[in-house]
Amino acid sequence: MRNVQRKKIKSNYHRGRFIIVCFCISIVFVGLAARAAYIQIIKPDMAVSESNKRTLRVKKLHVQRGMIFDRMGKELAVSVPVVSVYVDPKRLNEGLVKKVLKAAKKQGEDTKLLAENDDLLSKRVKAHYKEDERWKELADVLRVKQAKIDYRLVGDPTKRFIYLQRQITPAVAEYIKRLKLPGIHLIDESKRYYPAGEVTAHVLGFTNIDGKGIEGMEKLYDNALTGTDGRRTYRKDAQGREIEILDERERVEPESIHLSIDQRIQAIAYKALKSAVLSFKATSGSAMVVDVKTGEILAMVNSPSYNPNNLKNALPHKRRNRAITDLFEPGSTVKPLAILAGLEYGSIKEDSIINTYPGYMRVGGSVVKDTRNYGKMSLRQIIQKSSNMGVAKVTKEVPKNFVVGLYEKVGFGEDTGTTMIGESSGLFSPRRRWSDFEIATLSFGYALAISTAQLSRFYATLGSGGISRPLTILKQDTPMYGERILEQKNVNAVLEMMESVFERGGTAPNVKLDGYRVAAKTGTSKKAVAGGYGDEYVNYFAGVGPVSDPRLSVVVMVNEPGGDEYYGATTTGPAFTEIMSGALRILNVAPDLNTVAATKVGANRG
Amino acid sequence: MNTKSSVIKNNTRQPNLFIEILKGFFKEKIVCLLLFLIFISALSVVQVTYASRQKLISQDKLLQQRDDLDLQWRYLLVEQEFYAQHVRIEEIAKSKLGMKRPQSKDEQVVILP
Repeated sequence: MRNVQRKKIKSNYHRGRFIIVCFCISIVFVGLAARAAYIQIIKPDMAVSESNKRTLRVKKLHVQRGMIFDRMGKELAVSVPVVSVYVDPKRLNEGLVKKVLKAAKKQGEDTKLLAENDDLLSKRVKAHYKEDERWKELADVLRVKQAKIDYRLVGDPTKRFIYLQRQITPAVAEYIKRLKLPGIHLIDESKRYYPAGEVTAHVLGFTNIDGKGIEGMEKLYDNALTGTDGRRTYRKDAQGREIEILDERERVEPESIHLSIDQRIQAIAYKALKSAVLSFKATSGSAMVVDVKTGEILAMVNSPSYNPNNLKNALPHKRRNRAITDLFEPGSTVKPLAILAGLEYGSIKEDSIINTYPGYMRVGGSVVKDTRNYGKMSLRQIIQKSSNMGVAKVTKEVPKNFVVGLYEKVGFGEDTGTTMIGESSGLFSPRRRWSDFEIATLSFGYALAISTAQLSRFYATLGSGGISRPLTILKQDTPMYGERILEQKNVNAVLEMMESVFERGGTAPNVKLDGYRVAAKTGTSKKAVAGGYGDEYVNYFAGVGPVSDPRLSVVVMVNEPGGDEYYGATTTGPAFTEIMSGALRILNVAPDLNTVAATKVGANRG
Repeated sequence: MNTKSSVIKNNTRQPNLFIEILKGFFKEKIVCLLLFLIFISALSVVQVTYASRQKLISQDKLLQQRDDLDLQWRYLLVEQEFYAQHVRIEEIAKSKLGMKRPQSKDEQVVILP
């Protein structure tokens, strides 16, 4: 038996066959190995690139523009992420053609023939496009007319990039994403919101649609406010999760800007100024509040203003930051400076009496005159009545260079130091020759043109007792470096004189400030036109308060009041008192008028 | 039959292949240890890679969450700013709550020692 079996097995074995089988099998394995080696070692690029196509992704790490805060940390400008939708009409067309051919194949048509028949194909594509409800939904959700969106989508299939809508909310974007439309893409962008709207519009400025600052603070600090987008290259797994980070460039977060603006004061100032401009039908107006102790600008408002969140109605004349760009002759508001020139030079004393009789005088061929003959006046009365004769006589006794030099020292003719975009340094050239009449006009605020900011700086100098500080729009930890340009004693004397403006017989007897002692000066200057002075006026109200320990300088300017009223006190007075008392209360400054009851806590009550 | 069974018995003395292999392994103790270590390290590479991927995935999720929260926060901020507008608050304070700005006669200054 066993022999037979062995024989049988032996008979099955053929050496030749065995070799052939071995050879074939080894050929197969060698072939596989060779192919693998070819793919992996000799030409690996293809395999690598195919793998990368499936797993390698690059993500842009979007960075938002920096925020702008006011001095109390309230947000004035916030960037919020939004999404823009664009269409790639070529891809869209390809997607549609693919769908049409697929449908035709189901129907059993010859797809090749259809693909070559352009007319029929485009007809089918159009029909298919019309049938699809999703395109109507897209138009609805974007709030664009159907015809308009059709034109953009399928108007010209050779185009590659058309915006459908910019800056839509992420919720709408999510909806569009879920529609899964061919050729429709979304890009992340950010939009700037200004919560305070028109109140801070001029200071902050605005950005263009691509997020670049083009006005105001946004432009001035554009570099600091702009961060750098990051990039992350990573591998994803089948579920789209990140599994390996290959390369990462961190995003650079932008800086935030802290302004010196106090939004509460800014809001009060804007409201007061707007109502003044509206009720006196003025062309424009500006107001500024400056902290005299630090040089910080607490409020800077202009009217008319615009809504920075929607620039459709923002005409160029509304966009201008008039407080720093527009120049006017300051009129009587610089009279305290003329008195100071006399006091500083020493030609007059605090208790000097100036004879203005007969109410007019001839200076270098022209006439300087008051509205009536005031006769002999004290310096206090000169300020109270705003006498041109008085200040002209005071400056007459002072060398021209001294007067002009003082006007230059207080900052007329140079910018105020805010470095804001469009700031004007005023029209005042100290180096030229000044005639006697020009010096006289200089004393009551003509022959030079300054901005509201420059006037605020001068009043801030008065408020700080003669220390001139550059103004700043940024929040400061320490006061701005100041330089003493006026004697404390002289400034205090002039501030006392300026309180008389509110008294009976002053230029603003009806303007009452509740609770605080305020030193102020009104100003009514005729506007210069070609060849002389016209019928339009510029009204000013400038002052510092509280007098016992000055904290704020407030300047209100109303340009070309259109009604019957054109006196500074009437048009700008109410706005001035509202801003001054409102701001002082907000800053918790103790009232220094004795109408307010005071209680001492802890001290022995006598 | 007897002779046959003896042959079979002899066969049992044939070395057991598995045991022989094991014996061979234990003879080369260092190689064996190294092999074992290689296995351990290979498995731990797998384990660590897996763990790091999980960590990366959760990191990515958290970063995504952070961005989402940032987005939400910004929208809430804008909303809050809208409701906290100075003009709006003043309007509500005046008309709904009947509040007014204090006059100097309503004020009482307290001077601390």
